[in-house]
Amino acid sequence: MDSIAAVPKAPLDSTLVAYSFDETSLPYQNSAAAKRPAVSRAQYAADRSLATFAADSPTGKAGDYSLYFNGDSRIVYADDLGLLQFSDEDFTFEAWLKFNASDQLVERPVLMAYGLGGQSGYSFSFIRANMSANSANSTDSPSGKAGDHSVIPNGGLKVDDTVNPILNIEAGPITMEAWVKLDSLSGNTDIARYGDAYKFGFNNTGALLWTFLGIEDVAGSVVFTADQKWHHIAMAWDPGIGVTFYLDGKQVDHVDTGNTNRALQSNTLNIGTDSGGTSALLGSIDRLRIHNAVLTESQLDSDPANPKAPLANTVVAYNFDESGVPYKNATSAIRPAVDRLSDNTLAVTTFGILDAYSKAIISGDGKWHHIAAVHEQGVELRFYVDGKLGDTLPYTGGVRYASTPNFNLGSEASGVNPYVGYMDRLKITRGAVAESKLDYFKPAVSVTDWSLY
Amino acid sequence: MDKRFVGLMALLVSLGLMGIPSAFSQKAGDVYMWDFNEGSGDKVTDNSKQMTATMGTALTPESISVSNTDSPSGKAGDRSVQVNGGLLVDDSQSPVLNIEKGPITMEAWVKIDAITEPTDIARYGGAYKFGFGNNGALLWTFLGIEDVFSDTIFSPDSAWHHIAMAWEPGKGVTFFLDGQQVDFKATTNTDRALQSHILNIGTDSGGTSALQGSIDRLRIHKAILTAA
Repeated sequence: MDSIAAVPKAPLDSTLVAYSFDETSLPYQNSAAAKRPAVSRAQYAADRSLATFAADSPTGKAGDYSLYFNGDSRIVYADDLGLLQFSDEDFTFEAWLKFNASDQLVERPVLMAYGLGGQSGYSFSFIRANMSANSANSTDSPSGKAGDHSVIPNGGLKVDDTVNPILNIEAGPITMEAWVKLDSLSGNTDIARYGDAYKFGFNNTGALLWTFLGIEDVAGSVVFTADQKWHHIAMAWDPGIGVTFYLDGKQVDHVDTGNTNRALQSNTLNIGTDSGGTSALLGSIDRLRIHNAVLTESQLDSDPANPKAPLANTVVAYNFDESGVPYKNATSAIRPAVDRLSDNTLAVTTFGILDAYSKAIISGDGKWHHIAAVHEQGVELRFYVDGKLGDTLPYTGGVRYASTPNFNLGSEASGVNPYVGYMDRLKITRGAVAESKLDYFKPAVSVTDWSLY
Repeated sequence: MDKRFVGLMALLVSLGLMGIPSAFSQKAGDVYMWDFNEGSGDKVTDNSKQMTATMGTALTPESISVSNTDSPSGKAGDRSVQVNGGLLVDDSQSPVLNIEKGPITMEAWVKIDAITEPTDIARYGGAYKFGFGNNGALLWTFLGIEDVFSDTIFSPDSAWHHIAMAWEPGKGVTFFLDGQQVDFKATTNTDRALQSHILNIGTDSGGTSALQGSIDRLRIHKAILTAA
């Protein structure tokens, strides 16, 4: 230890940071190997509290900027004139947003808020659902190699296969395979399912399970034990013949069945949960593949250290090697896997009265989108995304004048519930703007365009 | 006189008599819009020019650390830092301090004027820290999981002292004061998952739990160091 006052010791091999604070001013340098300057916390916080102008906008024109909120950004207007106070009257909130859902820090990013919250004022926000249910990436993998990651699905992943679907192979043949590392098995467990028509996973006894959803559960006789180790699971359905079950690359069972999948209920591939988030796999998944073929043992991706390349009949293959969502499909089709609960539904809060949660979804896809909330006093709240009505909520509660007329951009008061992303053309209108007049269709008219006679 | 001017004056006078603060007070059809086309600076104004905000939070001079010539060695050129509002190290790029699974030894020289609340010497990622309890007890913390207090109570005397704590996973925390082991507390707890990759020195991440005094020769090791 460096405990002799008069004789400072040199850093040790195990020393990660060492600050002697011998500089006469900030920053203070680390004398161990890594460059890690120590700066003023307060200055750092003040710098982070600035939002930044970005040469990025819905129009894409030169000179058209937007504002980027980093999660610590603070912008507070003292609205002493009460210009943005609302009570029982019509109003409309609009904005253009561009953000990545995975960048959000809180479940409810607030775009703007008036007042201090509590019992008066209002806010406009979107709901990220339950972020604790989002998937997590892990550096653990069957191969154990650097860069080979896996995913802990938690609340599940989903793949949107709606446009030009490729997984609508419900007539078979189908082989589904994946590496799984399970902490426990406490109920029916999904590895993956498509369109609520076909799935593979485990039943509540741990038996390997192929399911023609709503028609037949085809359970193997082999019971899988969750031992927190990587195992390869595969099931191959040969229509008219049956389902063959594989564990760690070896056939362990075959069950005859002449049944087939029911009609597709959707074009969504769910990974690690069912479409509602239940039947959750408690553990990790890697190297998930779905093939439009009956694979043999030798064709399976069951060698932990040597992943096979996708086959010609492989429809989707997810290696989960990215650091987080979206996870790429390794075959030619673009089919990213994202968090199942990545919906971002618009909400208006009238503090002290109601949290109005809509079903209008803005995509957190890193592209510009227009959103609007229209309040028609005594009637309803209407929510729009990209000029289209997304939801209507009956509402007669009005708004309470805020006791403190502070208008916060990018968060609630005191920086609570921050938004991370770009914002442009924030527009607040004292009146119910008609759909055709939204700033999605028509450039906004500002108050500076008025004249008085 | 221009009729429009007369009309405007009449409107302004009548509004003033009504106690309404501005001709631009609330009116149906009012539109306030922010196009954020300032492009630079720290001001954001709506298109009516009535609402202007200065972005960010204010920085107070007393929140900034101060370098001083005082030090444990007393030698010329050996300086220390009075932490005030704290120091911060951003370790987010290729992190080196993500050693939350241990072992960890944290050590520093401190010169403390008073301890009136839980006091941080340093903490990392909202996961592990060393400092003092509000009674001056040497304190290792698995943040959000366990506070491991020593029985040794440190008395602030405005003199330099060496503080060290070594956490051996599965065994416990050894406490050192001025180069001598003064306590050991068994614990099998461990750090929670990292909440960030920020090292805070002299305060917590929000600027509280402030060390009231100076710090020198702060070191973090991925090892169990001995008194020697």
